[in-house]
Amino acid sequence: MRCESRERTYRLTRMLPSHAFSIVRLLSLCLVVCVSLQFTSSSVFEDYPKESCDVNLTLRNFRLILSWELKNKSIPLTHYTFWFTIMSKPEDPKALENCTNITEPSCDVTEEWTGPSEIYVPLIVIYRGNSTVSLCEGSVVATDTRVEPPEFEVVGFTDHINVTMKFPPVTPKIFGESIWEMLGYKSLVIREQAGQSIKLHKPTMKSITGNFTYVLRDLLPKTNYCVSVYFEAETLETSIKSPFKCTALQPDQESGSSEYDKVGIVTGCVIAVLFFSIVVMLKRIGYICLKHNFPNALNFHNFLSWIFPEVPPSEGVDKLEIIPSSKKKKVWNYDYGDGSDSDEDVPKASATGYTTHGLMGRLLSQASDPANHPLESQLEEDSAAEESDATEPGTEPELPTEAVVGLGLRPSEDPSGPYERRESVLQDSFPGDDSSSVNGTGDKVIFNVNLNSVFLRVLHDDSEGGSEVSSLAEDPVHLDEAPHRTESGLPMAGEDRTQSPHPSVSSQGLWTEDGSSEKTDTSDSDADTGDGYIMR
Amino acid sequence: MTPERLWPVVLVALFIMPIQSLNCVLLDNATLESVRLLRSIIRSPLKCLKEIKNFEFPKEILPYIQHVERDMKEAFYIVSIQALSIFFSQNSHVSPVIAERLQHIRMGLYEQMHQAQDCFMDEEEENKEGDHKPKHPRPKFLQKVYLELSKYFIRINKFLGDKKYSVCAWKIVAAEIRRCFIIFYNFKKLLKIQSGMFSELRFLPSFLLHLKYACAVHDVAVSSARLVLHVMFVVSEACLTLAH
Repeated sequence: MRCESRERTYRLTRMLPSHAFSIVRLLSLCLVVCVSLQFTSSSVFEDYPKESCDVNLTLRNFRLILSWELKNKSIPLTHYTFWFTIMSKPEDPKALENCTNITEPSCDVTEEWTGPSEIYVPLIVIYRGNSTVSLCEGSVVATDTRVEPPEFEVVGFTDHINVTMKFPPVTPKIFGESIWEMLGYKSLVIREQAGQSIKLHKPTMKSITGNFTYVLRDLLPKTNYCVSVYFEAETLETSIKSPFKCTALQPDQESGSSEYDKVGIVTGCVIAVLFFSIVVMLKRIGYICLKHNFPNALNFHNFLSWIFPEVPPSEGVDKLEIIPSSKKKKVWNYDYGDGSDSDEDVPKASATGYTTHGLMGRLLSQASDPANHPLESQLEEDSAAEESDATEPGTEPELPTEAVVGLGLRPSEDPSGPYERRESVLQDSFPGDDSSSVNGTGDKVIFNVNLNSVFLRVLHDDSEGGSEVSSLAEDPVHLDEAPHRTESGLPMAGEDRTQSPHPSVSSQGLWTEDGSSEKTDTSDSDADTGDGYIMR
Repeated sequence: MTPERLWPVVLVALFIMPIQSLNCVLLDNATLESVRLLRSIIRSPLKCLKEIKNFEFPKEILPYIQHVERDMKEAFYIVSIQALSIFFSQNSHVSPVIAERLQHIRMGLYEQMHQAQDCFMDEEEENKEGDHKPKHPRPKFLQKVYLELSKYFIRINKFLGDKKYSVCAWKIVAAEIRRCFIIFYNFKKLLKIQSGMFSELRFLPSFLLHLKYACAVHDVAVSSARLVLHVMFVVSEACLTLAH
């Protein structure tokens, strides 16, 4: 039994090692296959033909970029595979996934190369079109890194330039250190060049993230400035300088002229708007661009008529006999149709009742026998009485005259005779009166008649020869308030009572004395004459 | 003491501190130059990839030396000496091109070693002048630091010997020593940034930099200048004593 158990045990023990060995062999084979997929013995690379190349490590946009350049470019390339290893300890070369079968001769090793004191051995397998494979090898250390300058923009103004440099938002780790530690805390250098003049600016930077703007001040206008940027590091190789970016500064005049141009344009627009608004306002208020509907008084087109005023239209005028009045006051009688005469009421005509102040001369509208149109008027105003008293108190009037209403009168040679009527230019406003054209005598006499001192008698063509002698008795107030007429034909207030040798009479306000009377009785009348200018 | 004799004293007092700091600035420049020279020998390491060895740089010692500036300077002084000793090994199995590059590396490392010594000695003198306390035994952690550094360079030396000073061995050793220098340089720079000393050194007057280039030509000239300054300082003290 023991022998059988021993034999069984012996058989089992012999069977186990053989199985184990097979299993171990199988496992090791698998291990080798698996490892070979990730790592390759360095001896494999020794079999590849070596190809001369230059390997450079560059810090580009704050990323470690390993780039290589083959010296033999005759045979076209298809792709590369990047491997690397280190020299501090024995490790098989390792391939980067992002740099396998690539066409660009560069590889980003920022995440893999993190040892600042390590010596890295890059192994680049080169595959060519004719299925040849070659190898580019080298050795790289952190101090071999060449720092490329950051991207920057240049904006020029009149006397300064803004240099804006682009940095990553987060300071990256390069070889396990910050970029500034790796650079030895050396500053960025901004090179400013204008012709032969070179100036270096070193802004202090320890941990700059994001965009960084540096201003170059105290620059000359109208000058072309070129700017270059590079890192100045103590432990690194020669710095890479960026290409120049040039900008021409704007001159002061141009910048000022552009501003002045804007100001000038704005000012011109404002002035134009103001001008047009003023013109519109003046037009609206009628100061300019008036319509041609001027009133006659402002109608300057008919300049001649302005200088030589037109004769007012003829008016119904009658020949009047001016009878200087006496002290006797007469009662204003409006009864023109009454031909009764009242000798008693007929005042005496007084030459002192005439004045040259008065009416514009007007021509008679009707040429008639002055004898047929007598008109006697009697004024009851006190002033006429005073005037008569002042001149010849109690004396008889010497010149019973006739006055033509509204006309320039020409005293006749016979002062005792009536004035001839003249043709009036103006339209006669009295009914029944005819208007006639201008007689064109040319001679006009303008005189005022102090109706206070005279009596007027209209000389009509009627057979009756009735004359109307009006007086101002019924309306003394009216006479008093009646304005005096001036030579211009405008009435005046009853102020001027001066007498002149040329009496003037208006067509209105003819007064008759107690009915009409043909008599030119110049006897004194006691009728009140009032102030006595005839009022139109 | 007359004002005329006081002038040298003023100059010495004014520039003695910048001159002392200048040594450490020169050390940084020498270190960067050595790094560049070591880089020049490592061009095509493809065939040497399979012989690469991990020398296990003792990064754990760095926290021990970051708190005291003297310890940092001393550690780097030791590293410079060890590196120089490695490259003074025999190199008969290399090509003339490699031999010439190794010679340039030795010169650079020699300069670096001197600068590190000066920088460390200045630190020692400052501590002596300002602190009159009796010396205490060196802390144990510093002994450990120096021990680890020694082991590190022994491994490198052994590798070089095992590879029989081949080209690949020289390339791998050069890469490793360069890495060691970069680690110390970045670590010291980080400490300066944190302490604000880095910004002060950045603004060193330009005429002192010119003085740096003038004195760096000959080591004797630098030592002589320092000796003259010391003499002037002593003379000024003597004059003050006589005046009183």
